[in-house]
Amino acid sequence: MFRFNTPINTKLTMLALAIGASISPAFAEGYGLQNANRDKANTAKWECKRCVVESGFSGNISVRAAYNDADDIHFGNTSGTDKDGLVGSIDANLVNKSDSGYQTTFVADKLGYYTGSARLETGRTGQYKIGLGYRALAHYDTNAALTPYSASGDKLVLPDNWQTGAVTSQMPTLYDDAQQVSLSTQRDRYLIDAVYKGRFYQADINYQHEKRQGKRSFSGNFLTNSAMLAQPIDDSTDEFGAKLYFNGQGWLIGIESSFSQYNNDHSSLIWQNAFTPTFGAAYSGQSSVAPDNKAYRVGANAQLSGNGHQVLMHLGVASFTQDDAFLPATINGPSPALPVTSLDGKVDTTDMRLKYNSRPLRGLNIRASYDYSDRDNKTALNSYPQVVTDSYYAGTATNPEYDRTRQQAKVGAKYRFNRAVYLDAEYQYDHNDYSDLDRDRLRQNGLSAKVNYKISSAWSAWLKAEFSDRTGSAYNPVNTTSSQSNPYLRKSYLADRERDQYQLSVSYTPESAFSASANVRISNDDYDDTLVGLTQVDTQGYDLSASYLLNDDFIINAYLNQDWRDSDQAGSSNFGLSNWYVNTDEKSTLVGAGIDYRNLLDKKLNLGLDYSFSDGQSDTEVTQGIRSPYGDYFAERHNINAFAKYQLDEKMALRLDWIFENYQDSDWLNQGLALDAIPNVLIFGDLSHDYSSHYVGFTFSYEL
Amino acid sequence: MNKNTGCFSGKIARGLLSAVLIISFNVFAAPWDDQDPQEVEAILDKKFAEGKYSPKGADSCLMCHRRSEKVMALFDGIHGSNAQGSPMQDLQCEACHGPQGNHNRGGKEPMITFGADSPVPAEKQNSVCMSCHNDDNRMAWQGNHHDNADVSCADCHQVHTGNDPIADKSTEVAVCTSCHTEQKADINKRSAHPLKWQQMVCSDCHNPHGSLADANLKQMSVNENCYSCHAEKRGPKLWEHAPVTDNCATCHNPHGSVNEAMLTTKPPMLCQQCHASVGHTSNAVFGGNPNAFNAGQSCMNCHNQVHGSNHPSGKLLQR
Repeated sequence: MFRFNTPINTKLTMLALAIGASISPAFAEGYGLQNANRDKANTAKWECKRCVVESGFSGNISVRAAYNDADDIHFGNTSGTDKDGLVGSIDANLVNKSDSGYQTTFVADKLGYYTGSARLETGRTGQYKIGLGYRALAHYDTNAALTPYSASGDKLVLPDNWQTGAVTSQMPTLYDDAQQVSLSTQRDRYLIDAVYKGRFYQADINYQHEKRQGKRSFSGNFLTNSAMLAQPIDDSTDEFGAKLYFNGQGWLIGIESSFSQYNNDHSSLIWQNAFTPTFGAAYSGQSSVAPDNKAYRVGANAQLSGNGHQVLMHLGVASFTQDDAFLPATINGPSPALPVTSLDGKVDTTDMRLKYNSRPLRGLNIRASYDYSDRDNKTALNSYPQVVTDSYYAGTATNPEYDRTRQQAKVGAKYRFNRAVYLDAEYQYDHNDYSDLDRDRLRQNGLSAKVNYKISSAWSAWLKAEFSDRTGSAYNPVNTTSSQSNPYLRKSYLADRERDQYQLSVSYTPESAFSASANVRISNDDYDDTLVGLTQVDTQGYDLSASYLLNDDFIINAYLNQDWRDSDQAGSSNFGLSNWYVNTDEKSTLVGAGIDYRNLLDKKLNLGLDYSFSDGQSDTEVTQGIRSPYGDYFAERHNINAFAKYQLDEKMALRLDWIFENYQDSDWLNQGLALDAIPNVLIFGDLSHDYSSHYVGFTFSYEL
Repeated sequence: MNKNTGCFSGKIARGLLSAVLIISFNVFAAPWDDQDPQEVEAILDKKFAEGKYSPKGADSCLMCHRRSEKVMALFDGIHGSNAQGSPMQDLQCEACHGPQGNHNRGGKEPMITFGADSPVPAEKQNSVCMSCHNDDNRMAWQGNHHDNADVSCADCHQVHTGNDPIADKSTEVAVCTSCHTEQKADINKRSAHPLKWQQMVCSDCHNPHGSLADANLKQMSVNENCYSCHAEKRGPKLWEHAPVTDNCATCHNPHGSVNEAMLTTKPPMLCQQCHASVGHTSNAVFGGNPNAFNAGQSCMNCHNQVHGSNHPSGKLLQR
């Protein structure tokens, strides 16, 4: 795209060529424009009379009215809105092109739903562009949570007539006062961006504002009593980014920067104690919420290519800061003095990347890389008084740093024996240095190899195997914990681990109507030095998919995926070697099929139908002398997604959409449990889902 | 609603397999399909080196190919426009398909073609695209996962159209998961980022053209990738939870899980993989009778600030 040289980029081009030439001759193959032999190309008479670039308006716009059955808002994750009853939205894909090269586009998708989006772009194609965007995202958890609390700003308050109890069953007005509350999150993003392309440079800027609202599960506790709370979410994030890149023959260089600021409308969460305080005057609790914070990043990238070699370099620094005023150590009684009024927290990171690719021989590609990432917590370390759960003073504690330096080196090669077979192998070394953890250092050696074999024009297959071995420095449990850690514990993310993974893929894609593919994968994580903690994870999975094109207008497809994950862990209740064990077996199935049938009824009718079924379940059993199985844990979903689109005339069409979802799930954390099922925990009740919901939409679309 | 259904024509929502079939049935059957691909490649190499371009550029090509809707659809998009940097500003059709040579004499001499059925190796196909598109979004293409796996640009992208289907978020996930089948299963699980119905798309987190981070993530680390949407977890906070600062994926599978909250393991077991201190964390938590450890929010009934706390008294992540 940038073929015009200036003195600067000529120098860089020469540098790229010099690097390429100095390393060694390499096989730079391809049909790139820069390699085109233009000696015989006489383009003076290339008029392109038959090129038909149409100007003016084109595209389509659709208006949709639908019935959405959202008795259970969880269905909103599928339909795109939790609004029950009649809903409306707009889709659009409009383009206006001028003869002079200006173009404006407007794209909208489900605009009007809580998951809709829209984007307006205008500019001169290939030169500059300005865009305005809106994008909504929503997540719907449940509208069946029951709580006696109601939200008021930063506070969650109980009814005026609330009578506390020592245990949940002694809260006499609990069931009268409990109200349903929805747990869901809505994000609304507004975006503006621009790009300008010069002859040898490109500049981009963008700004995004996101507003987030909703409620999430939280828990507020006093000593051993706790209440589940619907914590309000009202926050926003502003992000600004800019980048400038220069480009020439064999080189690319640029800088990127970004700034992000998070603002939480809430400064804390205060809730009344639903329980009779165990001792003292712990009638209210106050918890911190996500603090306002900022993140800055600036980085530079450079890529030099020539003669089949390519070098890519990156250097970036980032800073994460946070200076929210501290809450008091407790709101019950006098709060001990804090060493500072705010954290003035600062974490700096440094990232470096160096990548090299080359083709030293015909058929041989080699690659090597070195990555360096450093996390340096520059926050001041102080002793902070600990008033545990707003109830009792427990001395002081010093904040940890958790610094980390990661270095990673990779060397890989891909050798193509012939057009049918290639072998790709890679060695990887990971080196991590930590502070304030049970291990100062982790090292991992990994090796992977993949053989790809195109058996015939129709059949192809590949097999990949990966092995890694993680170990590190001596394991010394940190002494900053409130109570001593079992000496036989090896925290899973720091433990020695041997990992094997294998994957086989076969595909059949002949020049005929039927095609299919199959994949099988297995892996094993063996925490070979762990006596207490996670000891083993085994996973297996396979999938099959097939597609059959009956004719140019009729296609059917089907797929089946299944996977299993079994994990074992050991624990010790006597602070010694393991004497209890947990086995968790997870199984997941996904099966689906679909048809698309178009050009029916004199090419006026298109039909489509997709069905999918997913079933994920988990069985957990704890053994300590006796076996103690946990209850049901599953999620089962049937989906039907069908449409019929009828072309009324050349311009207008009607479309009917039908989405059906039958969904059931269960979680032993709350299945069948009443609000007062646990004496010392006030819960939301049973949060299981069991619904069958429909979405039926009619869409009228008009083609411009 | 879900546009994965109902976009039969021109969209590759059925995945690459279907797209290949449609193409092979209708559009891109070439006279040299029966030739040995190696021979075709050798001919193309020779033609490219000779540089025998047509006398009239696109007009030469369109003498025959103007009857093809697919060919003429090029002019709906930027590659057929007169925009700065467009192939039409340079060697026109032959910028991508190579010098015409003697192809105009009966159409049997091979031209450079693209896609899974092309006799041109993916690396050579991509050299055409990358000669113009080597920008900041694609600078790490060489040696990235898709490059190593012989994925060609045309496996995902279409040029002869005004709307490249992969750029449409309603089809992107289906295209990616036609190869990434494990992730296809994951996004259908109990908890997952909202990819199944295309609220999110794979390219929200990954750059399929390669990146400077692991797994082709768009940010420099897993955590920064997560923070780009979950800035409330970014901190820094006074009391950090060590594995949280290290890697969000220690506890979460971002593609989906049979467990709630995309957790790799359910609490209390998840917590007990790292916590076995004197006291309650060392005890076996039995199923059955509900209590503060096996019901409600399990360990989070009390330690609710698992992503870190900025409360002075929050060392135990209870405030």
